[in-house]
Amino acid sequence: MTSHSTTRARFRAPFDYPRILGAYVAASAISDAWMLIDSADCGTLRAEVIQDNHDWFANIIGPDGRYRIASTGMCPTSAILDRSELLGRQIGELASREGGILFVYPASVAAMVGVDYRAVLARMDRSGIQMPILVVDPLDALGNWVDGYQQILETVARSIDLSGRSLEGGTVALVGNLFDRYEGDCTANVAELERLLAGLGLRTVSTWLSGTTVDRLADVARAETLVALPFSGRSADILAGRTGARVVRAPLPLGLSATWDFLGRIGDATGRSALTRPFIEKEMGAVYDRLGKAVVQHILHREFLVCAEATLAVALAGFLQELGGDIRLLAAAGDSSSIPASLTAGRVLAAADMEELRDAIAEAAGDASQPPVLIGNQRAIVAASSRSVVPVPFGFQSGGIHCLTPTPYLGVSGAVSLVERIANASALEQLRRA
Amino acid sequence: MRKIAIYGKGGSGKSTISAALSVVLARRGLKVLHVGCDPKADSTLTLTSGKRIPTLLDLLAAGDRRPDPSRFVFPGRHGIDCVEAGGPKPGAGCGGRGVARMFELFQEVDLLGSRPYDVVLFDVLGDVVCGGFAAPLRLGFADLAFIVVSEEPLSLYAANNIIHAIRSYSANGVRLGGFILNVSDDRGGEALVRSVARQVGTQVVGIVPRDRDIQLAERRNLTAAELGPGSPTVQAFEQLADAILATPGREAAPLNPLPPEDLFRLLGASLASSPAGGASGGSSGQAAQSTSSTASSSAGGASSAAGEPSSFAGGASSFAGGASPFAGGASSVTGEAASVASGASSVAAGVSPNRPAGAMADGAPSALAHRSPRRLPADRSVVASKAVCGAFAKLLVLDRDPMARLLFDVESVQARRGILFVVLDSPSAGRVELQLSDSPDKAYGRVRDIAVSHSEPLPRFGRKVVDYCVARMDRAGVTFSDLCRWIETDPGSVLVASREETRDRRVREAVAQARHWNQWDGDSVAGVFFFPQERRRQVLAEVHLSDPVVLVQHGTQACGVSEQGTTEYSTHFVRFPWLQDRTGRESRSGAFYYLTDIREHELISGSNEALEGALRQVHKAHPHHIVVVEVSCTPVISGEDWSGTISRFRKTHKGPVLATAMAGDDLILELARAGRRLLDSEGESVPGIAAAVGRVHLVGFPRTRAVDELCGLLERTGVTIVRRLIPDVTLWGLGAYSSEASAQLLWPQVEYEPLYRELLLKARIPAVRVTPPFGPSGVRTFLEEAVSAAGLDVGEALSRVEPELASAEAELASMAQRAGSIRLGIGVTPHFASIPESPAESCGVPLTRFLRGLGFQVEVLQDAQDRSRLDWWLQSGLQAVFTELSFDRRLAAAGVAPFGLPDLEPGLAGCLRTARRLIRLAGTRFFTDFAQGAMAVSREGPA
Repeated sequence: MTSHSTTRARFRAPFDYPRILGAYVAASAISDAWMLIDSADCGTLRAEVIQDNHDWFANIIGPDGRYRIASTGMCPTSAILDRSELLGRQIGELASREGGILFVYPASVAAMVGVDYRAVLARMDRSGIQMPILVVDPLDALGNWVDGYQQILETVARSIDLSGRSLEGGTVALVGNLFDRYEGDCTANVAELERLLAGLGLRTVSTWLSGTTVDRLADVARAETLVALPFSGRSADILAGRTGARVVRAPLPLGLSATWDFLGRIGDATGRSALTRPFIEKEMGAVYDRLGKAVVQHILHREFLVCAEATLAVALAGFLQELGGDIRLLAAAGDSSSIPASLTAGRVLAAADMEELRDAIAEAAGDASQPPVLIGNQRAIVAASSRSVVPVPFGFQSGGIHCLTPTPYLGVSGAVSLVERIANASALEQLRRA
Repeated sequence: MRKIAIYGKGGSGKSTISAALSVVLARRGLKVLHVGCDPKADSTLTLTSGKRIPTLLDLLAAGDRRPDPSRFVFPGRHGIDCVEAGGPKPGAGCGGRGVARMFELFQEVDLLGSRPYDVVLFDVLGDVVCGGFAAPLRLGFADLAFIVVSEEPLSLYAANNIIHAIRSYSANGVRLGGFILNVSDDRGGEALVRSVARQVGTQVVGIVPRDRDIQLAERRNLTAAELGPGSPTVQAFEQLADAILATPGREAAPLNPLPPEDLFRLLGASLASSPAGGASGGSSGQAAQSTSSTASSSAGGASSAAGEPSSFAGGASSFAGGASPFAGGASSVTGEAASVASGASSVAAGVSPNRPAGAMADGAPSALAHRSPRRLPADRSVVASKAVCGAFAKLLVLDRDPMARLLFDVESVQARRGILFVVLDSPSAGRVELQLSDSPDKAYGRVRDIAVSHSEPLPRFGRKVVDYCVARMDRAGVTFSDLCRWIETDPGSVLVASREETRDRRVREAVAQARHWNQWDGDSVAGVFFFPQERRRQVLAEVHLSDPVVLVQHGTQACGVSEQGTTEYSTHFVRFPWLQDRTGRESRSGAFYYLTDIREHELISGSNEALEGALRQVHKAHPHHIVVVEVSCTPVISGEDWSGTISRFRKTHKGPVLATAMAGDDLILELARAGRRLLDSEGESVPGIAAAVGRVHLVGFPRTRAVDELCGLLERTGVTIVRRLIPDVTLWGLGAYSSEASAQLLWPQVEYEPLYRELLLKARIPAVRVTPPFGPSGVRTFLEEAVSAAGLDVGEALSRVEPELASAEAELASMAQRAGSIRLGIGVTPHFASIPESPAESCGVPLTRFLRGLGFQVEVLQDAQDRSRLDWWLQSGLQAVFTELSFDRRLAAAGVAPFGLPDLEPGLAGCLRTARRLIRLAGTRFFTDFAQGAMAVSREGPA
């Protein structure tokens, strides 16, 4: 029987990441975007969660001084002052550099002192400004990092200049792709999805987000069809309202069935249903024999603890279940409203705190006949500490695994890659125990 | 000391009454401090004869983060000291935060403790509309509050509201002394006010009668207490002062602020039964006009009375800028010189307002006097020649003050036989000027900018003593390499400075506040290879508090992001390994990490309740644990009384409570003081001399293999190492520290100084700051110091390890030839210029001395922030360059191998490994090939 916990006790550290980090991830994922965080300099420090920790190829801060994410350095003293002029100069300095867009993001502490950013923008000297400047609503204290990521997408969707482009037949844009780093997993995800869509005869003109420039994002206006992935928030609808494109809501193509479903919906929406099945069958067939041994020896009947962002966790748990894995614990950080009834798990934690997570992992690890595989983000891996689990890092934040080569986790290739990652970890653990 | 806060609805007459009270109390011989807690900064106007004194906010805005009291406490008339908080202009910033900041500063400089005031009077803006304006009610400040009211219902409503705040802060010991009725309607209403007072649990302590002369007095820059001895108003103030001084400071009857509907019912009933039978609330206004209303109309110089010249000094500009707050303005105070209203004055004949007792009469300047700039004669230009390499070797770094002005000591310049400044500038930048100070201590001249005509040949750099030379290059067409060919490198020191660094001072101020890498003006950080100090603490100088700890972070979710498992990111540099490693610990015993997780609505309503809730849970679950409370900027900026909450928690909690706001070095200090308090309370064991001979504690020595080897070496001399303290620190169990050893050896590390100073240097055994044990000579010296401190015979002790020392020296000598062909680089910018030669600033590593001692060539690039110079230097064939970054892309792009502090090991075995490591590094082809390949790709595109 699945037991659910859905509340987090006050004062406990959440098993989640704050909204502002998602905004950073999104800004990082737009390669020519800049972001000015109106906050104390912890705003910059926090970028190191990504820079050189989660993402070895990020360039959001660095010793060359080219900080794509800079903070205003507000402090309790300067908070008393009228910082309009200083803010104007800081915004101006960033906006005069080469780039595609500048986000002004007020942290909650800045929002508290009630800065009128729009007035600051209206008064500042615009000469030398090279890029559009967007003020992000100060919602820092609400939601989690996925909300922050979506907020940036929506902000861009509302304001991006789409002029000079019109809808083109046979084209799609992916909206809501989670591009949390420039490493081989996320870059390969983009390549894989574009490959799969090409298999349906569709050309991908833009992917939100994919490490490309604002100009490439604007090519979304050429897409006849917008594929709204779960991380898109309202951005797909906002864009469709502006461009007239159709919107297809698709699940995250993580796992074989989910990928099938993903392609099926797009095929149906774009009049390519006849192409979909043969293509998918061919794709699946090509990987089945490669997966066979790995699945039978390391996934079938194996116990898994899946602890990650809700959408990723649910999709991953679903994939493992369809391969015959036994989900002992599903800890879904964030919006867990999408946990389907078909997903059975020994225990489900939603909106958990770290204490609960530690307890749940300890309990699951303690009862298992062989160490379960813990597949999850860095917080989960650390929460497990030296418990008897087989850790497989996955998701944001993952400082413990880095992908220097193409290592997708979406699509068909991603399914194989994921199985490979799990099987290797499991095999190594067995070797060490032998 | 009586500390009194005056509250009341805006326009109720608080400032008028509080100023008058200050005068009355001062005339009785009491030493009074009058503090204006209003962004309008008008509370003290009648005490300073209409002169607006610089506010604390003015000083903060000018960059003085912790001004000396002499800069914000000004003598007013009657010997009353005056302070104004100031605040943002209307509609911007956070005025409450400004008031809160003032009180923080008061505590930081211990204003009230260091000056013998008899009475401190806080005149506070209007209602208590946020935490900031309640700052006077915080712990350590006001112990009595009075509320100025009138008969008007809204005044009483506001008073009722304020009582809520006072009641909330009653745990700090502040109590409500009572109402001060400022009569606005002679037709009655006193009974109503008394009735309300009774209902809410207080009393009316004084009544100020309605008196038109109060306005007249204010126009003459006098207080209401200076109307003349026979004035009933003056008598009322005398009686009020008596009542206030007689009000006991102890707990009185509990306050009972009324629910609004009850209050309005009471007011309505009173109105209905009033003999006037009508609204007394529509009276023609206050008799004692608040100074604020007149001041605000006079701030720009215009008088509130039509046709009269202003009696107030014009605006803030009288005191703007400059070292002296009174510079530029006539500073003498002449009460009668002020214009007087054309109406008849009620001032009694023959009575003149008191003249100031020399207050501000001379406007004595402080700090440096500015003379008019001196320009050099045209023939004092400089001729230069010489190779670039030599020029680098002679480069000096000068200090820069927070205003980014270069400072130099004339005497040291003279010792170097002169100095050359070369400023790269653009033609349109305008003339630059050199200023010298004639201040008595001959401190500094300030070089703002320097100018020389490009068309003049640079004259030869003379060998006679000169104060300075100046030069300006028109940047167009002059490259740095050209410039270098022109620099004389014979005796004398050369500085090359980029004027662009001084260009945007205000952006620089923002930069100065940033503790992280300089994220503005990328060019100036291109050559930064050292972490800024805050980051050095976080990454390189951690302190581990080993005891069981409960950590409470008071902030939003974003503040609570602190990832375990990352090494370069941390919100604090005291780590809690016990907290981070709880494997096997019974987690059901309760959480050990609490995040108050300030919610959106709490940003507005206040988050102190959340902190109180968390601390209650902590106390219940872990009453004896050490508790560390980290307060983020959010509650600080919103003016929350988090320190009061923590103070109260300290009184009930049985374990030590460490608290810090905005992270930073406060926590180290807290830790040290907590340790000292524990030791003081437990009693430190007396050192046993005989038993302690030969025994030492090591303090601050890194936990590395090399140091372990060094400890082994030390112990082979016969010294016994008892404890190794810091980076691991424990608060419990320090009691026996001083009895266990004869000395403590302190590792040179500036980040540990607070712990040394506050905790260890106060221990009962001597402390020896050791020579950094790097390289054979460093190790030898260290051993001598350690053995001597342990009370053993140095010669005999060192003879035991002499073979090891000799062997290491011999092996190093064999590597010297290879090392001698290797060029290592250390790049510094002015801010970090001292680090290569200062072990304490470099985690104890004497960078240049150690590396040269190993036989390497070491080149220190000064002013590495110059991008062109840096690029030249990186391409000049250096084999490796020092960097504190874990992956330095600048070096990778230049094809230069990186080395850092972890590569430089102390001890004998450590220095041999260091030498071998660097020799091997210099021969590693990966970096050169990588860079060549990367450059080829960037030229031709990916294959």
